[in-house]
This record gives sequence, C-alpha cells and structure tokens, in this order.
Amino acid sequence: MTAAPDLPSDEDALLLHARLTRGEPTAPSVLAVAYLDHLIDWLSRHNRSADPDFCAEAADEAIVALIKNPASYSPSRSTLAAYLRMSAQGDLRNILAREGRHWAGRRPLDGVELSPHAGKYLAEGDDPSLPVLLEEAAEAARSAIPPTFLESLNEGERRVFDLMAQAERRTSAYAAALGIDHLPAEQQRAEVKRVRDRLEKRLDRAVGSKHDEQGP
Amino acid sequence: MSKALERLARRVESDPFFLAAALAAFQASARLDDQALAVKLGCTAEVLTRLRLCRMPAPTAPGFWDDTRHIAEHFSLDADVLAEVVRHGQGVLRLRQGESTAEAGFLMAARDGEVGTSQPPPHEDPP
Repeated sequence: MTAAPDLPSDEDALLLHARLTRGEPTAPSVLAVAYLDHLIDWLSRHNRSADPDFCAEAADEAIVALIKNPASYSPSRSTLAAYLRMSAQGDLRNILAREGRHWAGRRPLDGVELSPHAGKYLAEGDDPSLPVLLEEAAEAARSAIPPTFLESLNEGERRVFDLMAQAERRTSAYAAALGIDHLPAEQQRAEVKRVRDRLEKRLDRAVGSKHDEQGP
Repeated sequence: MSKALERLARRVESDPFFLAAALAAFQASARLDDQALAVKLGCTAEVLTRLRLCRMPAPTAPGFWDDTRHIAEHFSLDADVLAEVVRHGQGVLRLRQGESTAEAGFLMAARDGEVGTSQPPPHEDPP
C-alpha cells in the first residue's frame, strides 16, 4: 500500500483552488488525490466513536462539494485543508443525524436506549457534539422499543446495547463492557457475538410482539 | 492505490459531472472490465482511478477537444484513444437520458476537428 502524499503547501493549495475555479478538468482528480486520505484520517482520529464508513462518506461529500462549488471556499478565511476539515465534520454530523432519523423510521434490530453516560465511550479529541448526536439518534429509536425488553436486560447487556446504538465496531469495547477483556481475543469475539446475537433475537421477538398488540 | 480513492471513483460513476460516468458507460457498452479499459487507454489501474475523478469534458467542440487533450497530456495518454472512449461514453449517457434518436448522429458529426490527425475520421455506426 502506498503512503498518502504530503498535503500541498498553502501556496500550492491556492493554485489548485484557482484551477478548480477555472474548471480545469484534471483539478478535481488532483484535489481528491491530495486531500481525501488525510481527511478521512483526520475525521477518524477526531470522531473515534463514529462508524469509519461514515467518516469516509463524509470526507467524500466534502471533497465532491468543493469540486462542484469551488466558490464555497474563501482563501482569506482559512487554509484549504482547514476548510475541508470543517466541511467534512459538518457532513459527518449530517450523516449521523440522518442515521438517527433512519433508526426512528424502521423496525430497530439494533436499536437501543443510550445510557445517561453517553460521553464515556468517547476518546480524547472527539467532536464534543457527537454524544448529543448519538443521544438524539438513540432517543429517536427508543419509542419503538418495548419497555419490558429494556427492563429485562442485566447491566452487561445494557452496556452492550449502548455500544450497539453508537454503531461501535470494536470487539475490545464490547469485551470491556462485558468484563471479559481479560480473556483471549478469540474467546472475547465469540462471547461478544453470542451476546449480540441473543440480544437481537430478543429484541426482534419483543418488537414483533409490540406490533402484534398494536394491530395492523 | 488508496482504497478510499478507488471507492470515491466508483461512487462518482453515477454523477455526470465526473469523467467516471462516461468511462463506466463506455465499459458497459463495450463490455470491458477495468483491466481491459486500462489496456485500451494505455494506463495503469491507478491512473484509471485518477482519470475517473476528472471533470467530464465539455460535450461539444471546441471545449471537448481542449479538455480531452488536457487530460491526456496530464496522464500521458493517447488523446485520440481517450477522445474515442469519452465520446462513446457520453453518447451512451445521452441515449440513457432519452435524447431523441436524431441526435445519435452527433457521434459522427463530432468527428470534425479530431485531435492530432489529418486523416479522414473512421466510419462509426451510430449506437
């Protein structure tokens, strides 16, 4: 795998922006090559709880938006790199909000009540608005979850559900929540999968029962 | 080659702003996979990804030839071959958009002023 090239200097960035503005056909490609990987890396480091695919999608949207509307960037206000980071961060917030609305509108197989301590899974340097966005997303799904189901969860299962609501992908995070992070990695994976699968089936049954009670 | 760039290049295949749309339309029409397209254009897979992320050349002359030449020079490609592929792809895109069949002849009419040759343009049946 080749290493990402260094970011263009501020002067080169201005020249590239001018080429974009003039409509040079190769400028979009040069911009994407120069900034995409760095943007994804920056988003991932500053939003550790966010799904990596969402970070990549946000970076794509920021790059494409600038390509199609170069006038959106004003060189007098910031560097091109800083502008793209700000734009991508905004796109990531929109994506997370969209996912929250999506959860609210569908039968939640992974939906879960977010614990009051939503921020505890954030890493240092994360976007401080992320807990709020994740809380809003979980709130949107909460109404579709039967209270009896939530009440039936033990403490470990509640923590696992918190993580599933945040679209957490790391096994280590789930293992820590279950208190099994001292076990070998393979055992952690197997146990985490077992707990998640069991919770999804129980939620499926619980939501299915709720729909049956409510009728067509 | 960056996986992220490859993904973005695929993503913009549905966006007529980008050259990726014309290249994808050409591939589908000519039934070429990525490797075969790269061979036709005389480039590597990495260059093909970067090519996809270029802006779509203008649909008509002289902008079409200016843009195509610019792109070809940037990536050290044969401008005539690139022009042929792009024009074919743009034609397919137009047909998909439901343009009138009368415009299908533009593929032949647009051969006027072909890049870098003094030979008569080769005959090409309209799609």
